[in-house]
Amino acid sequence: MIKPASIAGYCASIFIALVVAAAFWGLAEQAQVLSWSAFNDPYLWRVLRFSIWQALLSASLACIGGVAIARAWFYLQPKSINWQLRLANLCFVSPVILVVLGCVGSFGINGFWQQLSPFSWKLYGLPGILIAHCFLNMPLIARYCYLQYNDIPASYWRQAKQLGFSQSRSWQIIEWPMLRSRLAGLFGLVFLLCFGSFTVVLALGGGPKSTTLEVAIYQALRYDFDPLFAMQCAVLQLLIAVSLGWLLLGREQQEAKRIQQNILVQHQLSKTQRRLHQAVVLGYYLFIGSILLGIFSPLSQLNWQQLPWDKWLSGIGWSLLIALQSTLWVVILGGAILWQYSSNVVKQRRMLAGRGQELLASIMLLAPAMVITTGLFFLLISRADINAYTAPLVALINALMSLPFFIRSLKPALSDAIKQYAKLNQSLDLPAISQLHLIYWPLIRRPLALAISLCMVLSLGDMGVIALIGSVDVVTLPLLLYQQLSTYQYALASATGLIMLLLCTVIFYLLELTLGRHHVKHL
Amino acid sequence: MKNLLWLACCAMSVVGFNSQANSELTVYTYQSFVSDWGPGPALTKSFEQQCDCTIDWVGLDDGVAILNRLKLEGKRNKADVILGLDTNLIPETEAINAVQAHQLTLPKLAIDWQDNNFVPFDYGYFAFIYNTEKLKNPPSSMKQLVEEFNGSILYQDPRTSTPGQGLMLWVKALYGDDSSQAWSKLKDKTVTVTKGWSEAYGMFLKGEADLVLSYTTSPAYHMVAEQENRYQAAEFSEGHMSQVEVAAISATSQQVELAQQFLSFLVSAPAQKIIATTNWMLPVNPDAELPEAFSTLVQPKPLSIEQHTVSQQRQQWTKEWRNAVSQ
Repeated sequence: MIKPASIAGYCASIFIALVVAAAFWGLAEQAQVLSWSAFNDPYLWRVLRFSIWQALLSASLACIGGVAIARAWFYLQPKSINWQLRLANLCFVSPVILVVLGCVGSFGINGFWQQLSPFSWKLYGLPGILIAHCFLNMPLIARYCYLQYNDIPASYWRQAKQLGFSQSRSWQIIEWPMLRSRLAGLFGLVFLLCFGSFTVVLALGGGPKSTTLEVAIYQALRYDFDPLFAMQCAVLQLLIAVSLGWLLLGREQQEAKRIQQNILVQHQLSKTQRRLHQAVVLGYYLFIGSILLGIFSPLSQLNWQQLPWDKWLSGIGWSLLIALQSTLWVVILGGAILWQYSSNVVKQRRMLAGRGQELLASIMLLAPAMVITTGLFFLLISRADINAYTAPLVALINALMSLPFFIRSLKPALSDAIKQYAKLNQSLDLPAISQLHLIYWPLIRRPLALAISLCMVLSLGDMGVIALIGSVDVVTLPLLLYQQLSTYQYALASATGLIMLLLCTVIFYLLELTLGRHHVKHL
Repeated sequence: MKNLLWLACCAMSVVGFNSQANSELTVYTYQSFVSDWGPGPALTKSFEQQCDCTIDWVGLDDGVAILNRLKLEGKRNKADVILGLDTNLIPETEAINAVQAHQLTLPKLAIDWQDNNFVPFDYGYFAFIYNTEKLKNPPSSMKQLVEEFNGSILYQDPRTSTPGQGLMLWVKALYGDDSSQAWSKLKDKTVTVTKGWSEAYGMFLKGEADLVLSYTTSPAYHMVAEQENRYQAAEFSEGHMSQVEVAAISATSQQVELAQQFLSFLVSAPAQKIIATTNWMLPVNPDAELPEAFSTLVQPKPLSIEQHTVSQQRQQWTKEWRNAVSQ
């Protein structure tokens, strides 16, 4: 007999598979005109070369910086480390368009760094792209490398001390071998994220010289109306992302086991060494701080008399509408998949299909959003009034994008709860609904609130999908911010950024207050 | 289940966001036309007094973006009037059947005009504008700009913007098959390529470049609105590419009469005066009054490329530009 849980799970998976298949169908329809000779376009290869080059540079810079910071954190062991790690997490999930705004406000031609410094430099192009990518990814790498540092067994350090290792020696013999494999995975992940980066490159690119495949897809549709070129870029993007992603997912499995926490080891540092590490941390916060400050520094020039309240209100309206729809999709799809997952955990079954389903749910990590969007766009444009579907379509794609994060952030809490209470439930013979209501619900409320707010914020901050298929009627907050930024209305852009941040904070707070309250920690 | 959700979502997106007035004229145009300082607000006020309707302006990135938009939306576009293409884009727009004949008798125009679908509403000559207080020796020819000029320039993307496309044609008219080399030389002097005219001009006024691509008529704005004489157009000895901006009734319009009324209004003397002094282009209606400043402007030798050649070669030339500047 097939259980309802399985039906729900399979339905969700089939639905996702259908959406992806529809996107590929849309692409394939266009592909009738695609031939090998069409790939003989020097511009296409130049775009590909730049996409790879900027992603390599971004990932390398982020890794070098990230390791230096992690090392400094580890040797200094600051008391506020938990807060610092939390801040690092926030950098990674912050809406990308806000980061762009921060870069322009701090390092741009009218930004405070150029005002203070006697030199002037061009932000648009590769420098801007690298700065924004570093802000988004360096803290993430620093965080994970720091956790990896903490996993180095204390006995290693004791031996190093006995043998009188210098800093460079312990780096060579202890730290690097322990970091290496973790770092390779992180490098790959950051490379993949930067390779598929859209908003940063679109807003900070500066002309055809610095264009990535994702931006080229957008330009081919919006500037030239050249579906063939969009298609070519989508195919290349997909090939590279999928092959890299496949390697990465393989890695992830090997690294799944967690090593337990070690006792902290106090490190004796010479004065210069300590200074050096402090300088690294200081430099890091100077960088993070200047970008955060850059978001708000243009506010001083804001003309408070003439504020575009109507644009803001409709922007907030559309953003919330899309975010809510998207969250609805995520909760339904993710809920169904997790339901099936938990019923499998209860029965202690490991199913082969489960792995495939999880892969399907993470599809958006592999198939870039722009490719799926382009496919659906082609499919719909010839059949329906795409303007009427803008909001639901954007919401659906945003939902698929945040689904992997939703599932991953809820899974551990769910599986812990089930492992602990499943036997008790069976012995008490509670009906399923009471089990959910009395036992599981109080346990997963807080993780659920967090996961939902994460999804809402992701959708609220997304600009790529809406920029590609949006019409002039549907202008969300990030799109409005981008429009203001590209017409050099920095002060207004900054105010829009502030509204976006406030909205995100309100969402986190409200969900925490309603859903997250009365959370019970299990024993 | 899926359909139900879909319906629910559609319903959610409709609520509160679509309020349609009864006679509403939707006009697709470029962003700077409807900005606060552009012709949009004054034209709206003047036309709405005589038509008992409201104008819904849709401001797209720039002129070429309007055509891209029409191609993208096909028969589903919402436009009644398409305003802001130039003569170079006429054959392509006609080829996708996006417009219909206007059936109007136009007043006597300052330019020679034959087309049955499109109505011209202003014209001008592309030129590089400079600040006389900052740049003492502006280039006096395109050759000098390409070969010798050491300063920085700003121009617009030919894929989205008609001025950008104008520069592309200008270079093509003068350099022919050597255009690619000319673009490579210009590339090193280029601060950035913007999507539309307003971005480039805004950056120039902030001092981010020595020259910006605009029109010979742009200095008139500074003279009239700011009593400022320091911005001037650099006159090029080879001549200046000319541009005629046009409007037409969309093939899908449900309000042809209202659209016709709007086009007649557009070429009338009062509207032409508004356009000349807010869009800062030359009026097509010779009866329109002009401020003194217009007589002080550069009178360039006009250049143009036959519009059918443009429509056949545009994609190819755009690719040539794209390849040259991405190297």
